Amino acid sequence: MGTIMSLMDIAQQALMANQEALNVTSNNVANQNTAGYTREVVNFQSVDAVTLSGGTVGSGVTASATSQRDRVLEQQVQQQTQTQAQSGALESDLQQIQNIFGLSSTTSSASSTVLGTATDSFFTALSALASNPSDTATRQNVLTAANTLAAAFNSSSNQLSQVSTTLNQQVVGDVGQVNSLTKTIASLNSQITSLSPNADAGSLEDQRQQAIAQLSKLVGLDQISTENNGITLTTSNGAVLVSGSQSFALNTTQVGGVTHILAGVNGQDVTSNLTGGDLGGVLQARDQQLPGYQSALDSLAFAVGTQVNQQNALGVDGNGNPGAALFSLPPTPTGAAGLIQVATADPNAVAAASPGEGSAGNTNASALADLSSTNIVGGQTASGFLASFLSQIGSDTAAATTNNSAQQATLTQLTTQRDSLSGVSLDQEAANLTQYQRAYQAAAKVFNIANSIMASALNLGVQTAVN
Amino acid sequence: MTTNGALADILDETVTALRDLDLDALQALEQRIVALAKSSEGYERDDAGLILSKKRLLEIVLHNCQINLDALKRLHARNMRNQWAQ
Repeated sequence: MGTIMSLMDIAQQALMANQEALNVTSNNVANQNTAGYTREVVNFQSVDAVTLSGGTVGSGVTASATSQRDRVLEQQVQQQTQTQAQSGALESDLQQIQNIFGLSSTTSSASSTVLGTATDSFFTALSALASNPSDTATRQNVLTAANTLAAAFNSSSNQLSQVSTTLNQQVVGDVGQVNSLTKTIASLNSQITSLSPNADAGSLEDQRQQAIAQLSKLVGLDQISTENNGITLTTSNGAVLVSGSQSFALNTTQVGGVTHILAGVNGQDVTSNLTGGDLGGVLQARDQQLPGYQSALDSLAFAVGTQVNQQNALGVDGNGNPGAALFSLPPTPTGAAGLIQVATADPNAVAAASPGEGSAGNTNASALADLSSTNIVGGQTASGFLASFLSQIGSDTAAATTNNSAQQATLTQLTTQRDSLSGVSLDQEAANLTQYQRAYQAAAKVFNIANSIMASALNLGVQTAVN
Repeated sequence: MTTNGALADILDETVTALRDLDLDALQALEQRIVALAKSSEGYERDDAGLILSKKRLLEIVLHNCQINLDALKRLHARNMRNQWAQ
């Protein structure tokens, strides 16, 4: 009786082990399209041998499924995700800025942009005035070109401000998503710690990895494995986001119209130190690239406006009065591109003549036109400065595009490596299935032959058919 | 080794190999039992209960395995269809 009971124990264990193997394949196939699912493999482990009638006739077995997870590879993928997300966000933001100025990968000439055309047209109108200083229509053309130039500066500046506003909103949105994910990760940490403190927690770990992968798209992270299968997450500058079952929310605040990010219990401002992920890219574009572009645009607008105003003030207008400012400007370059306006609607306000020439003179108009070839900003002419400025935006964008392509390729390689280990391949599972089928057939043949050998001697009559 | 002993060993090993879904081992066992059937000097009724129990064990594992394989084949076929449909 004891012998039969022992055999039944072995049978039960074997059944469970066999079923586990098939269940694992079944689970892998069923989850083939589940994001973040990590392929499982079955591990067999023998337990104590069973002794029957003084001899060992078999041994029990237990089977367990473990996820094919390489934590080092996972972390590499996450870090690369952070780098790629930052470069992707920067590329996207720089392309927006490039579009503001009408640049594209095929447009290399500054003079073909709206701002370039407006600048050239303004100085061309001044040249035309030098040739025909008494003509009202020509004077009107100068004012029209000045208005077009001021509008081009205003538009570019406003669009840069809109990009900045959009980036601020993006920061708030990203922070909201970060907080939601860190809360989820802390909750999963808690479950994993209580349910599986010493081993892979399977689908719970898949969910946690998936959440960390999503978080990696948003912000640069450092990940520390802690006791009981827990994970501590900090930003790249050390602000704790998740510690065990606790998450620490990021907050935002407005500082001078700019959204700043606060972290930790004391609400430390971490804006300048955050790198990686979409937030890293957005902050890089907003705080490092955009201010430089805005400043250059302001400098150009201020220089053109100031130089024109000063030269106009040296002449005599169409009414015989000393020239006044053609452009209204702020006292300093800051904000000049957004604020520059044409100060008059009177065509005679353009001071074409120099003092003593009479109102029909053209000397000052020539001097105004000559400003186009005078170095007035950054040691360059207005057109030269604009060309350099736009070239800088173009090359920054091109560099960001190249960098993002490289980062994306690296991420793809790493993801492929990880998926070859952790991902489910239907082909692989089909191969497993075929192998299981063949194994079953071989075992069935052993059973049938054993049945045949025993049947006649035992006179069992009808053989049990197993196919 | 007697036929009974050899058969008992093969049945034991088959259960173990089927448990692990070890195709190589099962194919080797298939060859062994074919050879045993050809060279068998005759099966004796001694130890019949023990060997019958081992055979029954193999039968149960086989039956269970077949059910699982059928379910798995259906599941796999469904996923392949879904993949093509995408």
